[in-house]
Amino acid sequence: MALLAAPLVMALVLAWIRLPRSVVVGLANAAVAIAFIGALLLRHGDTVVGTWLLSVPIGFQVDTISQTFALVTTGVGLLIHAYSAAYMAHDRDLSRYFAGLNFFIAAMLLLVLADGPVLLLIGWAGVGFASYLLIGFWYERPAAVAAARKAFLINTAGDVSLMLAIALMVTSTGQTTYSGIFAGHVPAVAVAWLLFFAAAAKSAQIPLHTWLPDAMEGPTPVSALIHAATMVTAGVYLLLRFHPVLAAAPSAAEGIAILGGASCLLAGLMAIAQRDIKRVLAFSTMSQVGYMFMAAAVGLGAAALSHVVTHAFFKALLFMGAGVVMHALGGDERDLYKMGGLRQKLPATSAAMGVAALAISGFPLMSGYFSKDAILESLLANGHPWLWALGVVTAGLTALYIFRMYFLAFWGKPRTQPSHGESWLSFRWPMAVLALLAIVGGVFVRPFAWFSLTSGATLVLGLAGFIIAYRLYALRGPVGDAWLDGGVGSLLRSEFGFDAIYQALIVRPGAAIAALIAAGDPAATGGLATGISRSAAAFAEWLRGWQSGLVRTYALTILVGAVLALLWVAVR
Amino acid sequence: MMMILAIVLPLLGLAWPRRAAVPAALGFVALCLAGGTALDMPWLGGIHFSLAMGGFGAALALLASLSTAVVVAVAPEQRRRLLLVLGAAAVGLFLARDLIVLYVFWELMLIPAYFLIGSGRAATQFLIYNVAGSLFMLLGFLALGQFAMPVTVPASGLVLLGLMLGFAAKAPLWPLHGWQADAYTAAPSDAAALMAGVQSKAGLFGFYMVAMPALSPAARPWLLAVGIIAVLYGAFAAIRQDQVRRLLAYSSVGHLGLMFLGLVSGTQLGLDGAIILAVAHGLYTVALFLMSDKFERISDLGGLAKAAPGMGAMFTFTGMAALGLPGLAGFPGELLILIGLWSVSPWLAAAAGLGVLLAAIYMVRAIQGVFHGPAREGPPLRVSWALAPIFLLILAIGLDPQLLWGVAHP
Repeated sequence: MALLAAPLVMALVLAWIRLPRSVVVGLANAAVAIAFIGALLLRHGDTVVGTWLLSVPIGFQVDTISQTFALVTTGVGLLIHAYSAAYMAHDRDLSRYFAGLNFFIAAMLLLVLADGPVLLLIGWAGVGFASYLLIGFWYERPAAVAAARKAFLINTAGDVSLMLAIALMVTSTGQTTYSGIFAGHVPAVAVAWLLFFAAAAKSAQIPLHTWLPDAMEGPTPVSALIHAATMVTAGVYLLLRFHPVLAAAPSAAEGIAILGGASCLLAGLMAIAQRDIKRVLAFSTMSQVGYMFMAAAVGLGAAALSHVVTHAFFKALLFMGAGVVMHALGGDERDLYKMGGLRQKLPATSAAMGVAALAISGFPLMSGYFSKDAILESLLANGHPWLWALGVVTAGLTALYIFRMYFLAFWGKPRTQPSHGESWLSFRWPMAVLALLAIVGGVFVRPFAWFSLTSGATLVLGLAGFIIAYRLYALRGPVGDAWLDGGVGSLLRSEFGFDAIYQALIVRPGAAIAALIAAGDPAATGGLATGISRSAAAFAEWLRGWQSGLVRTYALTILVGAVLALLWVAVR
Repeated sequence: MMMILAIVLPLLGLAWPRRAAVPAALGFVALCLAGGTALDMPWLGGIHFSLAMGGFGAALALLASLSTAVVVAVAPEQRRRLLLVLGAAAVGLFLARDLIVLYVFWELMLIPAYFLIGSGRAATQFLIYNVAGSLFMLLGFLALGQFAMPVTVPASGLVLLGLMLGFAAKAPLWPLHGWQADAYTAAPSDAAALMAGVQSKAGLFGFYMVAMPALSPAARPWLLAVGIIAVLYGAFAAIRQDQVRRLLAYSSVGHLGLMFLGLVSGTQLGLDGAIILAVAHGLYTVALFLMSDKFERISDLGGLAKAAPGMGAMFTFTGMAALGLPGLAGFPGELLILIGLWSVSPWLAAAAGLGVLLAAIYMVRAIQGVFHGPAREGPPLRVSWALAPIFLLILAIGLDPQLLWGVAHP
């Protein structure tokens, strides 16, 4: 398993050994390149590598699903490593950055190649830990620290849910490999819901999505790799991998698909109202993963997997473009209202972003057109017209929010003069590769169809979204957002109040319980020690009373004692 | 023979406190060579001087022996003698296979621990709890009428209560944990490390060897209730602590509750999980306390990662093990306990799962509160190389828990 070992070993090396910066970049990229070649050469089948706890055999399992994920992880991962070399070139902690990124690749590969849920869980937690480290990479910024904590805790809630799912599967079947578990009988409804909560935490789906927009505090290449292309699709992997369990619990699968559809639609709405370019993309990711959840939950694995692949291409590209824009505007400018007119200074980036925007909104013959169509068409064909409708409406919203972002950033008058151009070669070639893939990625899509009723419907709505975005934002800039000042707009800007609701229902009551216990504990337990010592003292005081020094009392005591002793002997 | 060496060798260090870590480490080596041996000499009446290296006790004895060597290597010279006595007594306790031998080592631990805490209110409180507890425990031992361990005669309700008072006060288990937060804060961090990491397991070990073999089914629901309350109570209390060592103390209340749940779950998986978690908890607790030597209030700390990146990395690593991150030592035990609890009651498993989540909240708070945020001037912090074996074991047990398996299941 060289593809796993290379990034893992390199992560340790980079974390512990101080090396020149160019060597750090070279080694980190080489490790991912090795992993990518390894992923290409994977042969389908199972390998048992040893035993874990309780003599559980553990090993790796390679099939289409795991190889696809491994290829996306290492392939897009390699491009983002190359991009990072330029993006992070001036960072003080370059070595720590690449160590984290390599560790992430290793953990993600473990997640997708494991042959049972226990080993999967180790990878699952590993990617969560890598995500925590990299969101909080700039640990001196309070916002990054808070975002890292939020992401970690919500993901830990998901880990616990997955642990409980494993507990249930292992106790009911006595098996620890996928094939063994699926051959046995598991209480499918409970397992399906526990798996869903784990998947929702990792993939930022309602109701556990609130960490993803905040996670944009991490370096932008991290957002591209972990919080767009790969880790957030791990939840989709989980649903695909446990498909037999979902199939055995159709009602739960339907419920999960509906929640996926809700994420798809609501995230699309929330994306419209964002001013932060990376938050637009974060909600967009959540929305696109919602498509995958809908399909994966109801058993349309091939379509979901296709969208995982194409989404990785165009979403990573969008984030890379956002990174170039931020860089050009002096490092950390994410406010769309302060951008504008950047296509003159950043022509290549503008073109790449335009390609990605077309791809994500399903422009005919681009990759997103085929993969979104595959999902929606299969939903319709398998009797889910309502999910289909959600998806079609969201397709229109997608065009609206992505072109709002594109026009605000690249069209109109410049509102801030860029201080850099797009000068680095390594900024550009990974983006060029991804742009090409975003265009032709449709060849990977299954089931493939040139045209359908669905593509007609999404095309009309997508065009409408594009035209609205053009009229509002390409021509008028930020003024176009005036329509968001009303009640609907404030609802969207508050992101439907999820954070506030969780604060009120979970965080504050939990903190109150903790405060109560922490404050009451010293009094409660201190009282016990005092009680023991007081009663010991009282007992001693009572004993002392006997030792009065009066012969009369002693004589009486001896008499009583003797009588009692005699009585005792007599009774026996 | 090797077992006797493991107890006696560290005590050689009493004569040369400057090089005390060397004989302590040799004691650990001796113990490693003692695998599977047993010793039994009749002494007085039905009492035997009986030691054995096997099962739960073997795993804990190895933990105690290794921790002693590490802690003594890190601690300043004037405290090493007391630490050595505490550590040697703990090793003896985990090897004991006779109740009176157990009791002697049990009380022998009390003396150095008392002086290590100091002489203030915290030490007095510690003494009151533990003396009162072991008094009831001794009465329980005598009432059982069998000295050989593990005990095979069933303990009736009142006897069980007496035993439980002794075990719970030592660990400490909720609700007898009143002494520990003050004691672990008042004691120097090296002493707190040995007490929280190793001494705390004496209570669990006693329960496992004496009370558990013949536990009546009627008592089980009560003990499960005590365990789950401990898990949630300790974790909730830890969330609000500002002092790092006090936070770690309450964290221990929760984790000991989880191990106790595993023991009383009545399932093999829960039992195995408790054994693994006991060793893991010992390792990461020793490391966390030793690293927290210079930390006082979280609200006064922050941003130390810049001045002390190595310490930040190792504290994060150990903290992640403590919150049960899969891949590190805290995880396999927690997973097995959850699986064991699930077969008792899914709700119990879910409540224990909540405890695991709460642990993540306070551990991340501690890690970020100390090391992240705007950089501040801090004390010069270095992680001692003496902790290296502990870090390696945390990783090794996490990746391959089977390692521990061989020790606990000869």
